[in-house]
Amino acid sequence: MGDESKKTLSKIPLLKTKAGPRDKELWPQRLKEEYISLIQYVQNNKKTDNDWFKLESNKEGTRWFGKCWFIHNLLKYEFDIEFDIPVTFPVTAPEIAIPELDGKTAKMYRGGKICLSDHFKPLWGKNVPKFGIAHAMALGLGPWLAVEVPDLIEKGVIKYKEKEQS
Amino acid sequence: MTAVDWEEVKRLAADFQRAQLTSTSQVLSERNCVEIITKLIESNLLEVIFTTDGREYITPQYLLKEIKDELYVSRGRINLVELAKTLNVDLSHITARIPEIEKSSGCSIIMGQLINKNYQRTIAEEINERLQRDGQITTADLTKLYDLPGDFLQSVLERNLGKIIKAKQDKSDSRVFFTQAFIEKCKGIVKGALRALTRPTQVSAILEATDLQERDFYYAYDCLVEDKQTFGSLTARQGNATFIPQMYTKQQSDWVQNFYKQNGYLEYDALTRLGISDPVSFVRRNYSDLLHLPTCAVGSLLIDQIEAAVEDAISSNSFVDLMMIVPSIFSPDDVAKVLEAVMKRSKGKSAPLIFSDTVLISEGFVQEVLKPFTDKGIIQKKAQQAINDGSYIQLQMEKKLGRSLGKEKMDDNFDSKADKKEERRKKAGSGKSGGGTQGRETKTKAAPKKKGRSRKESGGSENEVIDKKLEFFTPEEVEGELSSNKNLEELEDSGVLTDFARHITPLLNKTTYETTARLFEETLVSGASQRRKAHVELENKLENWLLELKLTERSIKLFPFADTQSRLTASVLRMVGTEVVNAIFSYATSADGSSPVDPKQITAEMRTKLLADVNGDLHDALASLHKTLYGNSLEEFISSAEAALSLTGLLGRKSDKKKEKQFIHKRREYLLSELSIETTPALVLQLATLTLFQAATGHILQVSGKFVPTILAFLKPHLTDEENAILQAYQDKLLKLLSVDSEEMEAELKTILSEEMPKIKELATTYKKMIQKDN
Repeated sequence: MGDESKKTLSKIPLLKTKAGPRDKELWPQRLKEEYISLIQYVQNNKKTDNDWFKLESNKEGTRWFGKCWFIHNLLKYEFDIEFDIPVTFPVTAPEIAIPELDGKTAKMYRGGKICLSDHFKPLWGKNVPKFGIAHAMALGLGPWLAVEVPDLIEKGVIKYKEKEQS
Repeated sequence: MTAVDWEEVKRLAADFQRAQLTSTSQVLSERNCVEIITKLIESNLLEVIFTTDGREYITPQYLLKEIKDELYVSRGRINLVELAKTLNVDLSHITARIPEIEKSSGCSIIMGQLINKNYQRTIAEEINERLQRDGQITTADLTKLYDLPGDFLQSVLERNLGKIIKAKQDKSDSRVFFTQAFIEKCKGIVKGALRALTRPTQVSAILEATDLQERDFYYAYDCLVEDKQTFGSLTARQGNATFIPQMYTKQQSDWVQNFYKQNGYLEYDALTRLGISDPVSFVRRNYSDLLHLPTCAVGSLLIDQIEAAVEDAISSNSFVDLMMIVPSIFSPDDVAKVLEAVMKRSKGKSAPLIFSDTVLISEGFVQEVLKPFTDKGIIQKKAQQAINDGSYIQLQMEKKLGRSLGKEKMDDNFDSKADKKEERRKKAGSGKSGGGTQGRETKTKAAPKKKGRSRKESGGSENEVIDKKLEFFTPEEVEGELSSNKNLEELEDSGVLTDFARHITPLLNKTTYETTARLFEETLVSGASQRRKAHVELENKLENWLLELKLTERSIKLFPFADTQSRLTASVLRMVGTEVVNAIFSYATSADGSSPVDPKQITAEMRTKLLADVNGDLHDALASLHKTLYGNSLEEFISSAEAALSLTGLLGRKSDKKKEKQFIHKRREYLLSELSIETTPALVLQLATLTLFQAATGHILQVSGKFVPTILAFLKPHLTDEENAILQAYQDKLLKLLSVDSEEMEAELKTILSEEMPKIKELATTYKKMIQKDN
C-alpha cells in the first residue's frame, strides 16, 4: 500500500456498528454510518480531483450498483459495477463485480467478481467492523482498476467508447 | 425508532447522491500542473527554470535578481556553487546567466567566484592598508590571503596603483610592491651596510646581518646604483653573489700596482690570495703588455733583465741558470716560456743551448768545456783505442756493407746490426792478443783504400748515423769527467749536468770520430812508408839469398861425388831456398793489399793455400817455384825464383862480380867473427870447417853441421897433414862426446874440447892467412 492510498484511507471515517442486513435493529444504524463514510470519501475524492465512481443502493441498502471510471492516456474508461451486501457482513467483505469485463481477464471470478489482492482480506478481517463499503472501494476496486485496466487497454480487450457518458 | 432510522438512511442516501452529483471541483492536481507546464515548456510557450528539488519554477529574470541580491549580501564576492545551493537552482542555470550579469553589472568570474567592482575596490583598499603597515607586499602573499589568482590580483593592484594603492612596483619583479617609505628604509640599511664593508662579502652574509629579504636588498641596491651611492660592486645577481667594496678593489689594485712596480711581475697565486678570483683575466684587463706565463705574468722590466742575462751569458761564453735570476716563485715552465720569448726577441743571434728549460748554455761555453777533452788527450786516447781495437775499422766495414745492402734494409736492421756489431767489437777487443784475430786483420787492412773515398761521398746525415753507432763516450763517462771540472760546479748545482753531458756526448763522439778518422789516415800513411822500406829490405835480402845460392851452387859443384852434391843441394835449398820462397810468397800474396803473412810462419801447406789465392802468371811462377824447392837443382830453383821475383817486381840489379866478391868477403868476415865468439865445440868445428872451405876454394858454403865430415874429407888435399890430424882428432872427440854415456867422460871430453878449441880457431884463421899469402 502506497503512501498515497494510506493517506486516502485514513481520511475515510471508520465505522462502529457491527451489524449485517439481518440485524433488523442495528442495520439502519450501520447503513447510516456507511453512508456517512461514503459521503466523506466521495467529498474527499471530489476535493482532490480524484472522483472515480458513482454508487447508489436499493432501499434496504443490501444491493449496490453504479459506475466507476479510469483515466488512462487522457481517455476516460467507464465500467458498470454492482455488488450485494453479504449476510455475514461486515465480517465478510462485499464482492464487487464488473459484469462487462466478465471473462476478459484472469483476475476475475465468475459473474465478473474481481479478484482482490492478498492483502485485502486479512486487512479487512483485522478491521471488522471499522471498515465499510467506502474502504472496500478504496482498497479493493481502486487498486484493481489501476492494475488491470491499463493492461486490458494494452491488450485491446477494452476499447475506448466515445461519448458513452457525458 | 426503526422508521426514524430508515428516514435518516433515506436522507443520507439522498445526501450521498447529492454529494456524488456535485460537480468535481476544478482543482488541478499537482500531477496535472506538472503535465501542463511540461507541455508548455515543450511547446516553447513558457520559459522557466526548475529548482533543484523540481517543486518550483522560477523565471530567468527572477534568477538574475536573486543572484544580484545574493552578491550584494555577500559583499560583492560569492562562490557560484554556494550561490546554486542557496538559490536552490542548478549550477548550470546560474553559469548560463553569468554573461548577462557580467554585462549588466560589471562583475567578473574568477575561479568559480562572482566578483563585482565593489569587491575589487574593497580589496584594493585593504591591500593599501596592509602596504602602509608592512611597507611591501607581493602578489603571492595576496594570493594566499584572498585565495584569488595572482594574475587577477596583479591586475587589481596595477589598476589601482597610484589611486587607491599608494606604492611603487618593483622594476625587476612586477609582482612586488613597495611603499616609498619602505624603499627609503631599505636603502638606508643597505647603504649603511655596504659602506661599512671593507672586504668582499657574500650577499647572504649581508642579508643575515641586515635582516633584509634578498629581493629587497637587490631593489635597494639598484636604487643606490641609480643614486651612485653603492661604494662597490656586486659580482652577480644570483644567490651566492659577493659584494666587493670599492675601497677593497682600490686597495687590491693599489697593492697589485705596487707589487708590479717593485718586482716587475705578478704571481697569479698571490693575486688569488688577494681575493682576485680570475687572476689571468684580471691581469689581462689591467696590464696590457705583460707576458703571460703558467703561474705568473711578467713585465718588460723583468724580461729585459733576463734578456740581458742571456745576452751576457752568450757574449761571455758562459752559461746562466735563469732559475737563479728570476724571482723564486717562477716555475721551470714559466722560465722556459720566458726564455722562449726572449729567444724569439733576440732572433738571429747565435742560438744557445737550453737545458732543463731554464739553464742556458752558450755555444762558446760548450766549446770551452770540450777543450779539456782535447787538451788532456782524452779524445786522442779514445781515438787511438778505437783504431787499435779495430772498432773503427769495423764500423767502416759495417758502413760499406750497410750501403751495399741498401738504405731501407739498413734502416730496418739498424738496431740488430748495431747490437751485432757491439758484440763483435767486444769479441775483437778481448781476443786481440790471440792468433785468431789474424784473419780479421787481413780483412780490415784491405778496407781503408776504398773506404776513404766512399766516406766522402756519403751524406752528412748518414755520417751522423754512423757517428752515433760508434760510441766513444757514454754520457755517464762524460758526466763524470765534467763533474771534476771546477767551472761546472754551478751547473751541477742546477742539476743539468747530466743533460749537459748527454748533449755534449754526441759532440765529443763526433770530434773523437773525426780525430779517429784523422789518426787512422795518418796510420795509413806511415804504414805505406814502412811498406816501402820493407820492400827495399826484402829486395836486398832476396838478392843476398840468391847470390848466396848461386855461390853455393858453384861451391857444391866442387865436390867430386854427385851424391854429395845432391845432398848438399837439398840441404841448401831447405835452408835458404825455403826462406826465399816464403819471402816471395808472403810478398806476392800481400801485394793485393792484404796484410803480409809472416814469412817465418809459412809452411808447405800454407803455401799451397796461398797459391790458391793468386791468379795468372804469378800463380804459375809461384807454383813452379814451390815445385823446384823440392827439386834437386839449385840452378832451376834460382831461375824460377828469379822469374817469380821479376813478376812481383822484387828483382833488382843483376849480380856482378864485384858484388860477389864483396859478398864473399862479407861472408868470411861474418864467419870469422862468429867463430871468434862461438864456444860450443860442435859449432866451432862447423864454423872452422866452413871458413877453411872458403879459404881453400874461394867459394862460400852454407851447410848444416852434418855435412862437416864431408867437407873435411873434401878439404883434406888442401890442408897439411898436421892440420888434418888436428881437425880429425877434434871431430872424433866431438863424435865421441855424442856417444858417451857417463857424465864424467862427457865432462872430461868437454874440457878437452874447449881446451883444444883455440887451436881449431887459430887453425881456421891462420889457414886463411896462409891462403892469402899464397894468393
